[in-house]
Amino acid sequence: MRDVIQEALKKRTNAHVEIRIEEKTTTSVRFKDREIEEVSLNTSLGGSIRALVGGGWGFVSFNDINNLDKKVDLAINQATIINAESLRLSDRSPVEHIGVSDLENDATAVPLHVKTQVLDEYAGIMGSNSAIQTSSIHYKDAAITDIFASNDGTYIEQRKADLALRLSALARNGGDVQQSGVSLGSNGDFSFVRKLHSDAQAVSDKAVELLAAKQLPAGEYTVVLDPILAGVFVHEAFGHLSEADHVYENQQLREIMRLGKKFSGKHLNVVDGALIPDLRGSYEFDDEGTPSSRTYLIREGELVGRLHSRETAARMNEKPTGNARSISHSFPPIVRMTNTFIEPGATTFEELISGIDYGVYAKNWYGGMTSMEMFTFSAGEANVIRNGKIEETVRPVMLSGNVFKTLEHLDCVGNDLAMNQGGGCGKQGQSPLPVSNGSPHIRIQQCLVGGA
Amino acid sequence: MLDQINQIMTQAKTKSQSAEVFAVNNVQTPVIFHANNLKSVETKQSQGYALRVFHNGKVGFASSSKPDDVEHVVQNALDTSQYGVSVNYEFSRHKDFPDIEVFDPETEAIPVEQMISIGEELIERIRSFNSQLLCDCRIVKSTSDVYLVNSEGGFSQYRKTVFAVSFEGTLMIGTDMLFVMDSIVSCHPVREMTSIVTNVIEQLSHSKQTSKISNHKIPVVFTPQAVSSVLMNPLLSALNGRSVLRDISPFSSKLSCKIMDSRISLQDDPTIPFIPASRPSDAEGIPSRQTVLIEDGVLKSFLYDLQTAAYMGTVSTASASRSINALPSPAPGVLRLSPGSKNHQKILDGVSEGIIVEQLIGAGQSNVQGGDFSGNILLGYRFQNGEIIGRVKDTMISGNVHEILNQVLDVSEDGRWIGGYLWSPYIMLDGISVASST
Repeated sequence: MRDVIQEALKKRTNAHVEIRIEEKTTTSVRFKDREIEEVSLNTSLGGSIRALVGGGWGFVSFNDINNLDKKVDLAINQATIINAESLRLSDRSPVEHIGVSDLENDATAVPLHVKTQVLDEYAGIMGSNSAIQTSSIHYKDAAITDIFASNDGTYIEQRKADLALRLSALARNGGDVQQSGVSLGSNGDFSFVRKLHSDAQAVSDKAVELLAAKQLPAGEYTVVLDPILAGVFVHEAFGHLSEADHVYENQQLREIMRLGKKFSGKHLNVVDGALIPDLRGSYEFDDEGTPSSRTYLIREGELVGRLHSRETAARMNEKPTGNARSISHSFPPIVRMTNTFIEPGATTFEELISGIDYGVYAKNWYGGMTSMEMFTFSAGEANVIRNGKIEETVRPVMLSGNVFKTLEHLDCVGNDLAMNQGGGCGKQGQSPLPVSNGSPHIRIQQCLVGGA
Repeated sequence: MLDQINQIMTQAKTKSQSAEVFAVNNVQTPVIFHANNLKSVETKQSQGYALRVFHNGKVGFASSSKPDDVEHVVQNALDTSQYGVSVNYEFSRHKDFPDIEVFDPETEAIPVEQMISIGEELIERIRSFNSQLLCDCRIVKSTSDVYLVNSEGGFSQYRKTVFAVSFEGTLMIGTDMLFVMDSIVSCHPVREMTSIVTNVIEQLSHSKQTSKISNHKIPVVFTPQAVSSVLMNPLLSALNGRSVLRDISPFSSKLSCKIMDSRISLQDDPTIPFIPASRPSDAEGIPSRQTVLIEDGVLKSFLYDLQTAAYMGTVSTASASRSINALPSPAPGVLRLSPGSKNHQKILDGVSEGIIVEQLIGAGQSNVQGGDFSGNILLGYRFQNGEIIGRVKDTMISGNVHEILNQVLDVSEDGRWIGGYLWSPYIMLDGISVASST
């Protein structure tokens, strides 16, 4: 394969050309109640060519990996049509790297009958709760071999694995349907999947508990977020805004996102990095062949960095961070997060809630979204905080706000960092990308809370 | 592709009771503008096939995009069948389908240069109204060949073209960001940009100033776009045969009962020619047909594929939908909500204060199965006595679809197609929780 790729890259002197070949095998298992609803095995092979001529990108993706030469021609022709002012990519020394998988407890090596057996235990736990109407388990693991080569002399082979799992349960009382769930994941390590008995129990208990819970009136509250939801918050509210492709062509946003700008107090430190090992967003090289890094986005409340591709880094005269990722060979790489988190502070959870007369403790997550300035994120569970104590459960809530105001209102960071590896990130039609995010408990004053 | 399908069928038939191959071959050409300028031109070819087998009375499934992977896929499907669900249905025997046109050779033939001109014209016309606007735009043409072949003699094959233009503009004043957007999609090429230009300019004009609502118990008008992105998902999940089968649909056991305001009627009709979600057959080879889901507020039918229909003791509504990598499940084809009797402007004229919602951030990220929705208004306006006062910001709306569709204030006569799958009027609703930041 390497010879074929390098042959296709030869003598392409008028363009920057990248070739990517990706092979992937996926196993999915879905339970509905105690029954297996679907087991599927998928194999995919495909590739893509990306060419830069002047300031225009051509991109060609395919499943038939024959005739790479012609596909490179097509990508170069498409890039040439654009005829735009020339753009620069940040410098990088050519890399040759052939990675080997050293994963322990590799999920893709676990026999199918073991996976179904393990999951069946959780289906059993959720199903044994007679108040649960129905439960489901979605499990998926993937093994990927990814080859990246470019005509500046870089050749990289990486092996990656990914695992995502969701347990959910629904309880019903007449027309009232309540659900609870937990999303988990890993970079292919199966061991955690064997230890979810208490999670399965908690999911089914929570769904039933929600039927009796009341709706919280919409309005502004002091909220405390658990590490999982706070991770979603930092991803939505600040992570996306740190992606340089949103910023580099927008002069006004560049001014707002000027390095050195103060966004919050000294207690806030935010990091993103694929170099942090063994998480779902970890890798050695991104999909442009740039080595991964660990980037401070906010340090002591000040904006100190952002996430880059080679194009955005060159345009903004900053260092590439190795954050250009694509969800598969059929998409070009764009600037994405990897493992994003708020660093822990010194405050204990008890101290964090002690001064709150009336507020909301929001936990777990359904989802989150951003439009840069405004964001939403939804909790899977919520409790009222009254006189510094966690009290009754209320129906799940959605929180929302303006990122700049909310970062100012983020007034306290706990000491108990935890990473969440469930779910995935979506951007420009590329979803779900494996990422992780995390945080200690955090407190936000005057946070807008919607109903349901 | 057909050769490959026949190879798989030949092997699979000898090793299983019944076999079915679903295959898709797609070529699309996106032309992408970023920050007012042409940024990239792409060609994306993809192909893949899925094999479903009935083996020892159980369902097995595997898929691949590798052309030479036939034996492996057959073995994978047989292997998975030992864990699969018991078979309770038969594959479709249909070979004849209604003549529903979804292919236009002109779409396939439109040159990239012309697609580029369309984007340039669109951006130029909109920026001539406001030159501060940063514009992103995608123009995509796509051709798909879809095949469904099974061992019972069922055979469906059709070709579909889709042409889509989507536009998004960002306007920044200080840290305030305004997003304006519109899109149009058809099986035909779309060359006339006036509707997008008009809609976006209207959004910009309506948003010139922001306005605070004075009262939180006010009517909320959902534009067709908001009906699609906010109300349809919770509603469709309750109408899905899978939810009924699990008895988690709030509509379970309510067939023929009044479930919402009598001004709401909804039908699934993937037989309308040249609508992108139309098709001659569903993804299990069942001929497309019209299905009345809700008539004058009364529940008439759910959406079923073969499996869910068999469990529920009924027949498929030709609603099987699938990607290459998974078994089919029920989903709507082309949805039509019935229009009301007044133009939407007339409806607004009669209201002293209300909110119009066009786009919501966070829609679909709450307890959708229970009918809940919630989100922050990304694009929406406050109006008084029919007149738009200004943009509403930092304001959340939330509610439960099953409750608020019983509190319909009015439904407009006018409406539009959204996303190539839904025709919707404007719907004005009462009882929505509104909260804004201080």
